[in-house]
Amino acid sequence: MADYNFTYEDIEELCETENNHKVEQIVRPYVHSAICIAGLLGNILVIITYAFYKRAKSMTDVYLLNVALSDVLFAVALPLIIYNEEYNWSMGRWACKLLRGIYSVNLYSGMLLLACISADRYIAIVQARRSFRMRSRVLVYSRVICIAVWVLALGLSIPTFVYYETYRDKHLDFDYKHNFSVISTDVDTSGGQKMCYFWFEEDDMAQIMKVLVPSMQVAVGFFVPLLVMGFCYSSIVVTLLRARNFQRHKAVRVVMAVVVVFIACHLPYNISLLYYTVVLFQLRECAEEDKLAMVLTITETLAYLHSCLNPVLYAFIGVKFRNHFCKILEDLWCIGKRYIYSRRSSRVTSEFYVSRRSTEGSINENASSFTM
Amino acid sequence: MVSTRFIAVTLLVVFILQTFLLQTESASCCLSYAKKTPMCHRMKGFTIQTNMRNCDMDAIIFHTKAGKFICADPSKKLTQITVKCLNRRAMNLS
Repeated sequence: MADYNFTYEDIEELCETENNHKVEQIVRPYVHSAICIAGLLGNILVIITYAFYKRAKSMTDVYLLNVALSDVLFAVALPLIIYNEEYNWSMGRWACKLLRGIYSVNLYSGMLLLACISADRYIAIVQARRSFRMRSRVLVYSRVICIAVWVLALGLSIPTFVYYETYRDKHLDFDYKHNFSVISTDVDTSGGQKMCYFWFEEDDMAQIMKVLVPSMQVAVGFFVPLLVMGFCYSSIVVTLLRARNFQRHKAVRVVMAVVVVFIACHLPYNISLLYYTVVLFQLRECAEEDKLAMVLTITETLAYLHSCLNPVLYAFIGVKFRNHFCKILEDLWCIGKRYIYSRRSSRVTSEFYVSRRSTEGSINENASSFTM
Repeated sequence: MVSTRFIAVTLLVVFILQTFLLQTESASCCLSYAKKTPMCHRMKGFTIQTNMRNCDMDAIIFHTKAGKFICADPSKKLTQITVKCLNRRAMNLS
């Protein structure tokens, strides 16, 4: 080793992940902003609908309202995070902790609430008898479950609140202990961008948390909801297909859309995140890292997209909800459009009234719990 | 009423677009080590990369006089020798 000459080819240099950077510069202005705007508009409309036009009566209503809240918070946090990343985290240390924390809380609560919705629908459709008995306590239950979900999400985000700090990204931790500046001045004075990321005081804690945080995100923030939804919706589909009703196919299609969109949005990101966690402490090539970072950026964008699809998939697909929504539109500005909307909504009415009718007599209340 | 709403939405869109359009610097890290440890006289100095910050492995980053950054394995004896040499040079400066 020692006998060959010093050439720059065998030198490992700092890895800059340039390609990922280029992708980020395309994705952020065009895609993320569009997602934020669409997410804000869609989810605020859902909240307005619940606030002024439709009292949250069923369990699903309560869950949907909470999903919308979580998505709105996300759509507010995302631009603020990006703003701060551009401007040296000018809002400071607490903004870093808070914004990253909010981001994490919403990730967990959003995913877990979607699982709750699937469980609620499962009870309403497959366990129809039981749901009939439970109906009086339903609202209390759903509120308790929602609070539990938010508390769990908060608990899972504690490491983010605790260990995220703002610090200078000189790509280097300057050795302050020795208090000397062997460092070339041009590097030192440039200072580097301030960043908001994990900051630990001990090596052990760093190793544990850097693996634990993304692992929990993949496990609790994706696989648990996926399994719950997989079980619930497949049982629902089986029940629906057994029921003799000409509209069941429509209902099945809605269920399939919900599941397919969930998987399409979140599976790629969680697989790449899992891979990233596995190779985290391994020696690797810069080109490889660049590719991985790029894949993460793109798949994460796909996952973001889900937050603005939720209002469409869960709320506006429901007949009742659309009717309320139309009322808002009428009240706001399009009295002229009343005719068009009322016609459209009557055409698709009762997609999901179907299933309940086939399993048990009572229709209305559970149909609203299955707002599709 | 409609026009104020329109203006509000437009402002929101402009603000968000402006936020997202700016450029960021990406963090850079050592991901593996140079096979050969560079000699002290070629170096201007060094900095330390630890697992406890944004990067995921420990490394000594040497700054060459040619303006390059070289990632070295901190557990290697040769790396430590170079570090000591640079430390001595810094002491002599003061």
